Amino acid sequence: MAVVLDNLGVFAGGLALTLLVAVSASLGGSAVGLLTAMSRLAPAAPARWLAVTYVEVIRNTPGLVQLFLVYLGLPNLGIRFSPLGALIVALTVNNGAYIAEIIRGGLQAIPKGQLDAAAALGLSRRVALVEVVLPQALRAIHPALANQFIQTVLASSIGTVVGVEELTQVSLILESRTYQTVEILVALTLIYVAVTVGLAWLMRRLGRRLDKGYR
Amino acid sequence: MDWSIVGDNARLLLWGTETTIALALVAFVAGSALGLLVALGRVLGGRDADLLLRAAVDLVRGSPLLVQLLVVYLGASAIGLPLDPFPAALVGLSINAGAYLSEIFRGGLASVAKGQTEAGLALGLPKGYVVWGLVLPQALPVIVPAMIGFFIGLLKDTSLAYVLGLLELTRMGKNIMDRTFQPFEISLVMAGIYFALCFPLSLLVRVVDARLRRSGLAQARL
Repeated sequence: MAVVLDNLGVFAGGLALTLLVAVSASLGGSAVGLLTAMSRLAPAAPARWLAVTYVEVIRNTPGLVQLFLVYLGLPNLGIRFSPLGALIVALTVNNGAYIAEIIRGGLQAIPKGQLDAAAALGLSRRVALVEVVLPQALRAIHPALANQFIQTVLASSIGTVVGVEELTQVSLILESRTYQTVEILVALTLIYVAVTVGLAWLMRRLGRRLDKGYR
Repeated sequence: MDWSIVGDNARLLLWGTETTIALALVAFVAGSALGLLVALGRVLGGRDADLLLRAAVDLVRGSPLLVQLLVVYLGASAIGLPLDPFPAALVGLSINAGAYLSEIFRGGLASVAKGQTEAGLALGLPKGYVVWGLVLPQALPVIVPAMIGFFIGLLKDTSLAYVLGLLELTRMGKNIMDRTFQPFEISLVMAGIYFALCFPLSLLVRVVDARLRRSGLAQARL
C-alpha cells in the first residue's frame, strides 16, 4: 500500500498522458471518421472504395500491429515519429475507422425525407448534410461516441510496448524498481476502472444535456 | 523493398499464426462457458449474486486487457504460483472474454419478450428451465452474430499476449523484425495475415445478420 501512496505523483503523471493521448486520438479520429463517413456517401466511386477499404483494413487488424507499422515500419519510407507521436497517430487512424462506422450508422438513421425537405427548401446537398442531417445524427450517436472514447482510454495502454510513459508504462517501471507487484497492479487496475466509470458517468450527463436541447 | 524476407520466415510466421488461432479458439470456448455461467447467475441467482457478478464484470470491462494479462502473469508469480506465458495468456483472455460475452448473453436474454417467461412460469415450468430451455434458444438469433463479432475482436486481442513474450503472430513478427531490420515488410505481412483471418468472419457476420433479418426470426418475439 505504501508504495502506491508514496508514488501518487507517478500515477497522476501517467494518467495525465493517458488522457492526453485518448483525447488527441479521439479528436483526430472524429475528424478522420467524419471525412470517411462523408466519402462513403460521395457520388465518386473511387472515394467510396477508398473509404470502405480503409475502414475494413483497420477494423480487421490489431491496434498493436498498426502501432508497429507506424512506429517501426514507416521509418523505412522516411517517416519518423517519436513514441508518443506514433501512439497518437496509430490510435487516431484506428479510431477514425470505428468512428466512421458510428457516424455512418447515425446518418442512415435519419429519414430520407429530411434531405428531400432540405432540397425542396433550396438548400445545397452539402448544407443539407452539415446543417440538417449531422446535428440529428449526433443526437443518435453520442452514446456510441462516448463508449468509443472510453475504449480509446483503455487501448492507449499499448503505448507501453513502444515505451510511452502513459499510465501502464509508469506503473510497470515502478514495479520493476520496487517489486511491489501486487499492490501496483491492483492500484493500476483500480485507477483505470475509476477513470472509465467516472468518464461514463460524465458523458451520460453531457449526453442528457445534448438531448434536452432538442425537446 | 525486399519481400524475400517474408518467404525466408514463412514457417515462423505460420507457427505464430497457429498459436494466435489456438489462443483465440480456446479462450473463446472457455470465455463462452464462463460468460454463460455469469449471465445465468445474474438472471437466476437473486439480487446479491447479480450485484457481485456485475461488479466483477465492470472490473474487467473497465480496465485494459493488456493490464489484465500482466495481472495474471506477474500476479501469479508474485503469489508463488508462476504460470508460463501461454496458460497465463489463456486465463487472462478467457476471463476478459467471459465478462464481455456475459453481457452479450444477458442482452440476448433481455431481447426476448417478457411474455415468454411469464407464459413458461404460468405453465408451472421451473425458472431455470424457462431461462435455459425457453428463452435462451429464442435469443440465439441475437446472440450468435454478436458472438462471431466478438470472436473477431478476440483474434485481434490475442496480439496483446505480446507483452508476456508469448510467440503468437505479433511477437513472432516483432522478433523477425528485430533480426532482419525490415519492419515495414514484416508488419505489412502480419497485418495481412490478421486481415485474412478476420475479414471473412466480418463478412459472415453481415451475411448471418441479413439472413436472420430477412427470415423474420429477429422480429419474431411477440
